[in-house]
Amino acid sequence: MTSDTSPDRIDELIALAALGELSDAEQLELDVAVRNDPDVAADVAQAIETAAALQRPHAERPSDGLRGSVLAAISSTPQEHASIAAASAAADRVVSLESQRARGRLRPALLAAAAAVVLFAVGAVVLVATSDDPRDPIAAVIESPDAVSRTLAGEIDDLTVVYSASQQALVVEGDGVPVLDDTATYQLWLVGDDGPISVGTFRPDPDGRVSERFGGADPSGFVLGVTEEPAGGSESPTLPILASA
Amino acid sequence: MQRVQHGDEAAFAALYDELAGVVFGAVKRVLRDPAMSEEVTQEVFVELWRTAARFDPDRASVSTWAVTMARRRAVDRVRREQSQRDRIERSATLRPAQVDSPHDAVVSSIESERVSRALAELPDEQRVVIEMAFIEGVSHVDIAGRLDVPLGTVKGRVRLGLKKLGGKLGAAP
Repeated sequence: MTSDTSPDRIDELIALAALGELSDAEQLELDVAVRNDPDVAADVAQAIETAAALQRPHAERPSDGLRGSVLAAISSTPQEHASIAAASAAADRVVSLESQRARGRLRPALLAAAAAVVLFAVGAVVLVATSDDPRDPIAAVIESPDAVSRTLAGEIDDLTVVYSASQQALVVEGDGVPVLDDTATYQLWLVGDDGPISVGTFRPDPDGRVSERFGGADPSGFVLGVTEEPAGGSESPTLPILASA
Repeated sequence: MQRVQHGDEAAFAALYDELAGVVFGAVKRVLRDPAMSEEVTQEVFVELWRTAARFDPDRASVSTWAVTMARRRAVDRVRREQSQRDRIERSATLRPAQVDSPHDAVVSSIESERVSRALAELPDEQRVVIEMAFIEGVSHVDIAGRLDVPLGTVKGRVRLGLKKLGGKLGAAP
């Protein structure tokens, strides 16, 4: 577990945290710094508390009708315990899942299908992007009707994560990803208020292509981050964050 | 809050009654528009409900958690929906917050005086930035634009100002 974040950078991140203006990547960077240094955690807590104290005296009552709307909205909104438990359980299962993970080819057409069902109409013929192997575990996620995708941005900018609730799995796909030597691996993290949770590690093939499936981890409500770690992965992320969403 | 974490809607209603003013106030300072502020306030409370399991009393008070989330949501909304020009025009017509219960008025007055005293002790350059950020609800990018200083300078002044204020403004009730 390492961090090369400078004190000036930490101060900048703490200011942005108090302002509520951290980007996803900055949030992840600060989460790592907080986990590495209890003093940083205390400084963040104090800055946020002070910022809240500055705003608290300026309370202003909303309309009476808002109360009913809020209470009606929450009565139909499930709470999050289940997904956090699922993500934690996924992290616990990383090693065994990795040993069983299925490998596949990069499928640009299937990635497109994850964002929306893609139909190519040619005359009277309609072709639907589908897998040529219905038992392919990666295609099962990407082609699932409930698949949702998120594109990661950063130093590595060609990574897409596709999640299917019905498959209870996510897939990382990418192209042009820098190839690592045998001593290193990429690691995918879900970052929430309780810090980073490892989803698992992945490596590109010699052509820089990535196609990996991980079971269990629901990324909804979490920031996704990718770091480079020593072979076998780490217990917590090592900066810098190479891609996030 | 423990009851809320276990899905108790009645406890959440009580939490709403306690926090609605500070959440709405924090959102409205950023957005100005009352209708949009109520919309974002509702989003904040739904998020508080949905993510209640993540709340850790050792890290912050419920009030701090809610106010921080409120500002973040409001700034996100500004980024998405409002132009800089619209916001400046709205800020020109900004009026003092309306506090409609005697209890809230007293609490607000005491806290306001404490905040004013603490702010007065800051160097001007830090006080101006802190007031713009947390009293007027201006984003750090907009502050940099209005003061014609680099973003890093604004963040540095916010950090130093908050550090100096930290010892003077106690924890939330």
